[in-house]
Amino acid sequence: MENNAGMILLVEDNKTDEDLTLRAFKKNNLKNEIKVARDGEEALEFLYGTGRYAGRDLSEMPHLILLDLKLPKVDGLEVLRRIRAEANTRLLPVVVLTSSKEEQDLVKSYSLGANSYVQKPVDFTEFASAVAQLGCYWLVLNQTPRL
Amino acid sequence: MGAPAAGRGGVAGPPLTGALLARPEPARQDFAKWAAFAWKVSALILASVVSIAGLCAVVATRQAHGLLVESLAAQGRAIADALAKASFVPLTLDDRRALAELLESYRGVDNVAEVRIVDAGGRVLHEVVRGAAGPGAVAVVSPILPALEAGETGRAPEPIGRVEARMWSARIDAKSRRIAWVNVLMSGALALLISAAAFPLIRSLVARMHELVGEARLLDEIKEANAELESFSYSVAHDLRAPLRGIAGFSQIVLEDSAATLDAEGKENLGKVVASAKLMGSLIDDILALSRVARMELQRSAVDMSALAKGVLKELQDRDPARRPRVTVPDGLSAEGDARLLRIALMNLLGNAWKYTGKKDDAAIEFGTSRGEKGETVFFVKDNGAGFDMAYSGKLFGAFQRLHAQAEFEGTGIGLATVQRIVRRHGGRVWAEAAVGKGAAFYFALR
Repeated sequence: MENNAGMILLVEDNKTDEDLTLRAFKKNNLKNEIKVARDGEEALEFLYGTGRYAGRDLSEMPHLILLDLKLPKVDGLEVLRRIRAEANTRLLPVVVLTSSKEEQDLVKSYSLGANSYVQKPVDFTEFASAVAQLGCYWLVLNQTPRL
Repeated sequence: MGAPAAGRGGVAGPPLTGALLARPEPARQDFAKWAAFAWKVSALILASVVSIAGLCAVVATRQAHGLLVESLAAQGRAIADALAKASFVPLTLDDRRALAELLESYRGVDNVAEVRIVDAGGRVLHEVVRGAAGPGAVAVVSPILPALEAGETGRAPEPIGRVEARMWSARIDAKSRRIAWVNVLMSGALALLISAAAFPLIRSLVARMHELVGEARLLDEIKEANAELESFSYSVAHDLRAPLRGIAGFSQIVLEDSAATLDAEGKENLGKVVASAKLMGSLIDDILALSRVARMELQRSAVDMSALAKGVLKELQDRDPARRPRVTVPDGLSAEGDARLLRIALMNLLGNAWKYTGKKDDAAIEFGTSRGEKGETVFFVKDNGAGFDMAYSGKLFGAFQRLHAQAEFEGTGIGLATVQRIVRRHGGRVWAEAAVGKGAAFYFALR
């Protein structure tokens, strides 16, 4: 699949899920650079060039953020709230990619402005197909405003 | 808070005032005045009890904490009953002391905000006030002496209504779960004249308060347990599935990457690992759904059961387009209940009918109603599928109970437990009839 190879920020604390997601991307020939943040704090530091990412070139922003909800330190919903509150990240597509399909998680995520909500299937084939569809839709089909 | 009149409406029980009016005149002249006096005291305490019972009834209808408040209302009525039969003996100083001690015992109790014995002038004879009573903890005492004086003619105490209006102050705050209960009120002189009959009354009120505090604590515990359950399910939803994805995912990856070096048996075994992990995933989803059903707040409305059933069957058909079972759903069936929950119930029942007719050539599924013994509407889902042995029907509605092997028919054994919980939450019942190889019928009645 061809795409404009924008960077993806994967916010995921579970190494297994990270491996599976990366593999699903590889399997579907999505060659985008994938930056992994292992907790909410790291994700925020990366996005805003603070802490361990102080001085990062902030012109390089992800084209898509895949966000787990249950994260150490700062949880996914808080990360989402911050992303929507800050001017330079307000318009970034955020896809919640999580284990839970609890109603409260769905409602909170959409209330905070998530663009999509996808439950990670247990089955890897389904998982890979979900990731492929996400990548295809958000990185190829979908148009986002230039920041 | 509701008007006193509404409160009185809530006291459906005993003919309290009637019992009071029927009380025989004291025989002895020198006791007459005193007896009349005591009578009024009883009437006024009675009025307060009645108003509390009424208030509770009103609260009971308005607040969710029915258990607490309803039992309080019942208790109020019972005390009123007892009081109507009571005779009067003066309260001794020892009694007062004992009463004070009883009230004192509340000092350490969180749920009781204030307890007071107040004389007619509003002077506090004895008081137990919780240090940090919040805004919800209110205890107001109305002076009832004027009513007593006005009624001091020896006639039946007419001003019950009036007194009731002014006694309208004891309050149970269902939200903060604080019980503020004050209805032991005497004038300075009257304080010495409280009858021994009134004392056990007070004692029983105090004992009841103890009980209520216990109940309130129990409710708090239940609330706490629910919150724990909530966070438990939340972490099940998030955390328990993750390792399963690892197990299933990497097994599949090994199958893909090392297909060339794996022999047939190795592939088959890895396939079993994947299948087991997926089944576990379904179990987690289903048990979470079951717990959601229990937690969800019931929202009753008129529900078009025919439309619901048709929608569910269409979904089943879409998921399994190859099959074409004969489906019968009459129009115009309706019920009173929570549409979301009833949909889940029908999804499980019709889903079962769909599943267990899977091996029939002439599969038939019927949804309909019949009349129960008491004229109630009984809904049913019938099929001509695999059925089951009625000898095991006792296990049917238990969580994780299955009457068919996984290899024969897939499933987690949560569906019927979910159905039963939904029906029970509607105050209804569910039961089944079946025969092996001939099909099954599931019936449920709502209330």
